[in-house]
Amino acid sequence: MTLLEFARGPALQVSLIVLVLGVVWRLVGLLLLPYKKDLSEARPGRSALGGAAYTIVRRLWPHREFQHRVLFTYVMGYVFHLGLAVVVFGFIPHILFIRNLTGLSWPGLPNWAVYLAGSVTIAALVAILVRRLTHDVLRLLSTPDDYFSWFVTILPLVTGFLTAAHFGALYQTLLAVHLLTVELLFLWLPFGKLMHAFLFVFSRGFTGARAAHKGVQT
Amino acid sequence: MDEPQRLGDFLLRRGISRRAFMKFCTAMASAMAMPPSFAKSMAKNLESAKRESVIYLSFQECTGCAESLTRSHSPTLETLIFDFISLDYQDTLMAAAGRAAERAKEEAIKRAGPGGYLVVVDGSVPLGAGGAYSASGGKTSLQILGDTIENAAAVICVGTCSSFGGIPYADPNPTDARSVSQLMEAGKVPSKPVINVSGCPPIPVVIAGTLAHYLTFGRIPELDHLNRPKPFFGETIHDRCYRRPYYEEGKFAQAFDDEGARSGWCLYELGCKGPITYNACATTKWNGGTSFPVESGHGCLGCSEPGFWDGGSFYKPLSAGMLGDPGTLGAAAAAGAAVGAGAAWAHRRRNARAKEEG
Amino acid sequence: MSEEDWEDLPQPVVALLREVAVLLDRLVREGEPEAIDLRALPVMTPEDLESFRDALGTGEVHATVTALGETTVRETAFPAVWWVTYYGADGDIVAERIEVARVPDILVTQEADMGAGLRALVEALPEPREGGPAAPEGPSIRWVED
Repeated sequence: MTLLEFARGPALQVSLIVLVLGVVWRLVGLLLLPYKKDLSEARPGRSALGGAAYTIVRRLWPHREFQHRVLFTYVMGYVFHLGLAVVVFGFIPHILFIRNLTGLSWPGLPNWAVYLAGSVTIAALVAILVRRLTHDVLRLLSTPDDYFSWFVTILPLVTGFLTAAHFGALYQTLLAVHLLTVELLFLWLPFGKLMHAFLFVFSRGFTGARAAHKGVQT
Repeated sequence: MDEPQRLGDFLLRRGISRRAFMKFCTAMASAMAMPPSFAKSMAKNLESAKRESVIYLSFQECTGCAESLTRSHSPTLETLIFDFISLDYQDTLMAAAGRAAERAKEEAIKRAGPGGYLVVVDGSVPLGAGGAYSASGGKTSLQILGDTIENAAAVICVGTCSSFGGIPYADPNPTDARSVSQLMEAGKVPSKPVINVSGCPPIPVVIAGTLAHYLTFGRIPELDHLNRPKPFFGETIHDRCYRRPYYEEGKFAQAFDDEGARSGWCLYELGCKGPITYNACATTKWNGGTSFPVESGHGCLGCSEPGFWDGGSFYKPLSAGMLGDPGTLGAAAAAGAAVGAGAAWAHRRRNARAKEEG
Repeated sequence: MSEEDWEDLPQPVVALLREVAVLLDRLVREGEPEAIDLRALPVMTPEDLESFRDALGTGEVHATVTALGETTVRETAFPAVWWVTYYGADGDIVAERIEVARVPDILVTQEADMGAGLRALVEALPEPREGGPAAPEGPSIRWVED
């Protein structure tokens, strides 16, 4: 079996199984956890669900009071996430990959637009790492999970560029390596900081629900 | 046996002037992407090349490769090269049959002496059922191969079947077919220098050019990572495809005969394996330079690469995965839910017990 | 195409023309012939190739060689710069070159062909007959069997 056949076949199968199994496990495990019912009376105003929804949306942009601390993170975060979305969902070979898995497809972007977005995304990721390494508090708070999650995120972008440029090795090797780095991301996602992709909804929601119970807007 | 022993004289006797021969060398040098000055030195070497004895063995094959070599509307220098190489044994083309043919082969090998002849192998060799799936004259193909290449100078595998296993090797490989290289690696036949001229079939000028190179220099041309001659297999179809600008712009045909297909857009989405296929189709083309699959509107099948029959659908793009059973993902979700629920249940039980005790 | 229009030529065409100039210079100074294989160039659009052909123009010589298919030899407007197209027996183009030389290789008669021709000519000539007019005085035909 060649490396490419392995990457397109068994490796993809296993990594997707782990991704699905892991994500469902963590979400179900989390949602079925017992919680103490709050016996105090809720303040008038938003319901728990309303508070949850409000906070999820409100925290898409920081309060003015906190911006001097968090604006860099927010802006770089958006640049990175939006750039990654453009690359993942706009590049035609990626759309074909998704179509093969799910049957869904949509029109793609011209390649130059994807390459531009990809470059910007990588630049943002590098800036984010530099910040983490140079900001005193952030550096102290950072764990191996933070660095490894960053690593498995930038790797597909770099290998993707090398593949698109047909640079560095035979094309079938480049394509296989690119697929394997994506599969590595799938394998890691349910177990580290990357799980924020699903959990952020619940974190913000829970905070918002608690705040609404107390009659506080946050 | 009274044929002139030098290629130049042989051709002159056949009415091919040296001028025509120079023209052939110019064309061959161009096809091999050699510098123009190479043609002159190639002509000089080639015209004094001695007749090389060649034994052509056919095993588990469809004869497409032999047909590819002989397909020509008018005699070309390619077919003449084959005349010249003293094709001492080729069971489709030779006049003799049965024991007479076998004797001719044995005599040719003896006459040429150790290292004095080339063996061309067409087709894979089956090991299943003790080799019974491909046998001739009471001997299995494996035995014939081993006996014949014993004293050969080199082995030229013509076609993907002998180079990499080809169609008999495809899943589930019921005859346990192997390529010549695999047999050498497993020690089942003597190890000799191998040139893989792969393709299903290979382009005729590629076969002729490889032989011409061997006759010119008396040695094997530079080979790539799969032992294919680099002059012809050094670039992928994608590298020289005339539809490449459309690939770069992201203009892909989505169905055969749609607007994009009619405009000649890239066939990536329709399964073209051009990016991972090394061959000369995009430059040398087929049928005397008429066209090649992409130009005719069909994606490259990857026929000069190992395992191309099992590389997923010919019509699924390269970026599509080759997932086995999609049902496994549903099972994975169910399993995840079960584990998660189990974890939560264990947590609740722990809480309840703590409450009882506390 | 006049020389002034060369200002507007696309970059790849100008680069090729410059290479022709370099090769021609080498021929003039050192007498070394060279050739450019048009098939080995990076992907050139058909329009650029046409511009290149127009820029080179035509000269005084147009020859056709019939040897295993046709070969057309056209002198360009620049002496010693030839456009040579080699066709296969099926009419397909098997090679195409710009040859910078006094004479393109394909037009030069090869040694072996000359020898073969001489042998054939002598063998075809009748022997001087008995009692007939004597063979004219002059250099006798002399060649060495190789």
